[in-house]
Amino acid sequence: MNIVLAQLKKDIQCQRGPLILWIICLGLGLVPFVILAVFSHMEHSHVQFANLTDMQKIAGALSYVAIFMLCMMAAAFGMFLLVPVLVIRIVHEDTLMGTTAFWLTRPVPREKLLLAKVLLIAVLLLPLLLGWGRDAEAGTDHFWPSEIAWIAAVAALAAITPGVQGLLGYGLSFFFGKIIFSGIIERVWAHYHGTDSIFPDGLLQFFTSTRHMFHLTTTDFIHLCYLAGFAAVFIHQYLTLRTRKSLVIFVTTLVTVALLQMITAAPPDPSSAPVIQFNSSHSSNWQTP
Amino acid sequence: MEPPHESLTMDPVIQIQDMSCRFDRVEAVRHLSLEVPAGSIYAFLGTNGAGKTTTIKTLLNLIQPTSGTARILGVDTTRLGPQELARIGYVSENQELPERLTVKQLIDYCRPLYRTWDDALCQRLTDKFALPMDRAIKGFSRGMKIKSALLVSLAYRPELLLMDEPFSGLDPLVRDDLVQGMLELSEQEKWTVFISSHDIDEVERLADYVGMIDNGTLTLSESSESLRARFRRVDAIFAENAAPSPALFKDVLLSEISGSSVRWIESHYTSEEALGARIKSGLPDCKAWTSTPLPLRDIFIALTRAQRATPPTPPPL
Repeated sequence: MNIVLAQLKKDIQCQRGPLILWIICLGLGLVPFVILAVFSHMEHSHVQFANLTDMQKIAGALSYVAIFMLCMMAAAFGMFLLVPVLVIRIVHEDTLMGTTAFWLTRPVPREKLLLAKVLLIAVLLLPLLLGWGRDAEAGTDHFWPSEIAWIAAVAALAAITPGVQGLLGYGLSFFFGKIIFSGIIERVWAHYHGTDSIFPDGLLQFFTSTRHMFHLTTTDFIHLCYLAGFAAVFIHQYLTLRTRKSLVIFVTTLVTVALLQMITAAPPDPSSAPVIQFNSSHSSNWQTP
Repeated sequence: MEPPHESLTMDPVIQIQDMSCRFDRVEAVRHLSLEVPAGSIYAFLGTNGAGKTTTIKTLLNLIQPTSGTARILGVDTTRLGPQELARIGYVSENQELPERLTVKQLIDYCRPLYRTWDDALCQRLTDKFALPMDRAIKGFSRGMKIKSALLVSLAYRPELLLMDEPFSGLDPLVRDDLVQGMLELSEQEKWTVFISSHDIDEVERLADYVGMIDNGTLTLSESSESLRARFRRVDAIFAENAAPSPALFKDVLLSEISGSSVRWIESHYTSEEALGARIKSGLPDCKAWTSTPLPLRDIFIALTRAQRATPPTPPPL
């Protein structure tokens, strides 16, 4: 455990700047809620606002909206841009490729390195999960698998690339490669078979019943498949350092999910994250749970 | 040329047998065999691209050999794990230190990794290297970075220290600091050091054993003592109009004929008497001759040139 803690401490020290920024963003995200809580407390304490003029009340409301907007933008920046950047930096700090990384020649067991990295990434994701947990209690959210899958994709790509340049190159190649792959299969199928479904009805029913079993929407089910695949890439790369095999798992994940998307033929879901949302097939037999 | 391997009697810490490393079409290391005895300082010399770094990376399991085997501390390098790495120190010009850390943070990171970490030795080394503890390593000069790497590679008293071009790009003062530091530690610690370099003058002060590699092929591996003993530069003067034919020197390393004087490098020197007898029988017109010991640098140059003059043998199919 000492090694895991030493690794965690080192990663936190190395990412101190971005982590401080992330905490500031988190804090700013909480400001509107703190203000609301204070107002609520003041109302309960029977503090009177009657002596304020209408203009003052309007100015106060506008100020609150402005603060709310700014804080939410900062929080969104922290959560949706800073977290992936931090994940990339944390993984690349002890790169899993090449022969020059410091940790490779030190007695750091790979599973402990993996545990340290996963723990730190989990801490970064904790506020998101807590937020979604609260939304889910209110029954308003189906969002979390897409964001976690997006972070998992970033982490997996970082694990199989030596630097940001490689990560961007691979990421763009995979992104467009998947779109082209799905497009080609659909076009070829449409050319020979017209509007008939590519996959047999039995397969569709199987996947529909599977996701029903776990009470998942089609989009969430797809994102969970992504999450499982990318997590497998990440863990495999950390435990074996066999980049080619990890790459094969990554591509297999993309191809499998592309095929799954064709089977389930999920239409675009506006609540989904944009990066994961590259469903390219549409069909009338889509079912909601 | 002398066969490259000398039988070593002490227990070897490093054993390489017929190891080759190939990257696509390039064979970086060819049928390398060598042994490093425990407690010795072994200098692994070669020009840039000779195969030194590949050999060291193979020893650390950063690269797997294409054929042959390498053992380090009695373990096959392909099975090297944290247990063995805890007994090995590694300093390389190519290694990426966690540069966002300060030296103090780097020490704090490394300490829990090693059961044998010695805080007193660490403090002694920190004082000796005069490293600023609270500055990020990324702002350090090259020499300071190498010193930082050396600090966290020595403080746990490794049984084996692997150093890949540690002196490259350092100014003479820092080089001298490092060499002095290592010499001092060598007297106190029972360790084995394997140091690759093309800075032969620095290494000559340290090495008990010397290996030379050129174009992936080991040209020599023996003790510094025997190496210095068997290599001599011979200067001979001949009677006028009796300059010897170059053909007479085809079997020696590097010969220069200038008028009636000849200089060559003798690689089988045993004694002045034996050399004198050979000159008398082979070169009867020789009027006078002297022999002087060769520095390691000249031996290296002579051997490398001789190796390059020899047509390469085709690799086995």
